[in-house]
Amino acid sequence: MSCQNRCDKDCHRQLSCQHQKQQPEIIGWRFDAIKLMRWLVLISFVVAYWLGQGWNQPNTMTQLQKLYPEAEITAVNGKDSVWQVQQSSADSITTYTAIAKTENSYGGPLQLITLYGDDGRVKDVDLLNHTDTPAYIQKLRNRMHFEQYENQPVVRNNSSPSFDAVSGATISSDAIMRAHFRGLEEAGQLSFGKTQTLVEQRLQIETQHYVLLAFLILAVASQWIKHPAFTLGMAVGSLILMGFWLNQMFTASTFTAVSLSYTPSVYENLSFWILSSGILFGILFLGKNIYCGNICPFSALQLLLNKITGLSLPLPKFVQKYGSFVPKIGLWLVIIIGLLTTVPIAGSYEPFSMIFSLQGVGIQWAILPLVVIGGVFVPKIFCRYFCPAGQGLDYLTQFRNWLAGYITKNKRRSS
Amino acid sequence: MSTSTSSSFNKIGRIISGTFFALIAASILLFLADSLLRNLA
Repeated sequence: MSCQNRCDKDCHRQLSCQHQKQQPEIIGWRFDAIKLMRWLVLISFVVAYWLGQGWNQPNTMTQLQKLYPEAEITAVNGKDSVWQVQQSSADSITTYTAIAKTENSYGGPLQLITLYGDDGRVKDVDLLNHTDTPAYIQKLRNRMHFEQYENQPVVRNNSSPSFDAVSGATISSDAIMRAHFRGLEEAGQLSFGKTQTLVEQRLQIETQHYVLLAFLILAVASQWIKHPAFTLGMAVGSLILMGFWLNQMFTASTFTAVSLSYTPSVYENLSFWILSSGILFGILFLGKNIYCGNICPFSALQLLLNKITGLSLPLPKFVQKYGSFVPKIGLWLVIIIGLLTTVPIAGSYEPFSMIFSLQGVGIQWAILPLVVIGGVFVPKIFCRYFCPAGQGLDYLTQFRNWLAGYITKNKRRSS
Repeated sequence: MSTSTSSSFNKIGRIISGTFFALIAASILLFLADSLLRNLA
């Protein structure tokens, strides 16, 4: 067979064929849908970030006016943090000073207003805006968390009463307390000439942090220990310790929070840093996602539920073929909604907090039973087909492994 | 178990798992739409 014939028959494989060199070169453009999708996703993130920053700039004055609709509000010395609030009644006019302070909470920053009078006592404490799960804030309101600050002196001394955090919403109540104390520090200096330091940056290492660390070490060990008893023990431990006791989970909103620079400091939420560092260690040094299937309590819950029933129903062909796209789309939606609203948890649909701390809003309560019952019939239905956090961690692991492979290949070439 | 019985079980299984899959997906979409509107309002 002549070379020309071979070319006609199977041209794309005959790269060494002489005739190809003689043929005019066709300048072509190969359409790569996956590459295009990646670029579109990146562009959509940039646009959503830009729109979110433009739409959601908090206006303290407007929010204060909403909180005290009858009052006349003016900024003090042109500052955005100190305001004069004048409330008029039929026979008198009362003037208060309001100080707005922002602190990082569970879902991102929250802005608190502390209102005090000339008598040196706190009149009112309330939230101007927040990015926390609404159910947590509602829990604080139900427990009268804000009322404990009222009528307390602005200038505090050793005999001043301490304030309580609300169990199950500790991070939010701690953030509120810090914002209130920062307000009192400024109020003391501004109105009463007293310098007081009420917020101390002190690293508090407690039992829960050691337990979390130990669990991360076990999760790393589980990459080598494949005994069924060990896997079962990890699942039970994860459910009890990580879920019900520590209530510490990794959600997809963390990706949005990091991109919006909403991460809490190590003093505010040490558990977050221990967990994130452990997950990153697994990705960077082992090239594995150690969180899913080892640490995640929700994954453990599904595994144990399915072990009891032993059911594994077949999925429709459509789901088998296209189901793997769902967590990818889910992750994109979580990040896009988080960036557009500048509230990282706004798009976080994982039902984790509902099952372990019974906190949820509206339709979230429908997701939980469906996922739990669905998990009885289909092993790990949420992890396999819906979890955006797992998808995000898998992407990071894939990227790390691709990068490691690329570096190794280049090293080999150069040597 | 005969082939036809096994096939029927598979069919029922697919209907049950498919229903759960669709319900979870629908409730997630509803949550996301509700959350987006609530937070942008």
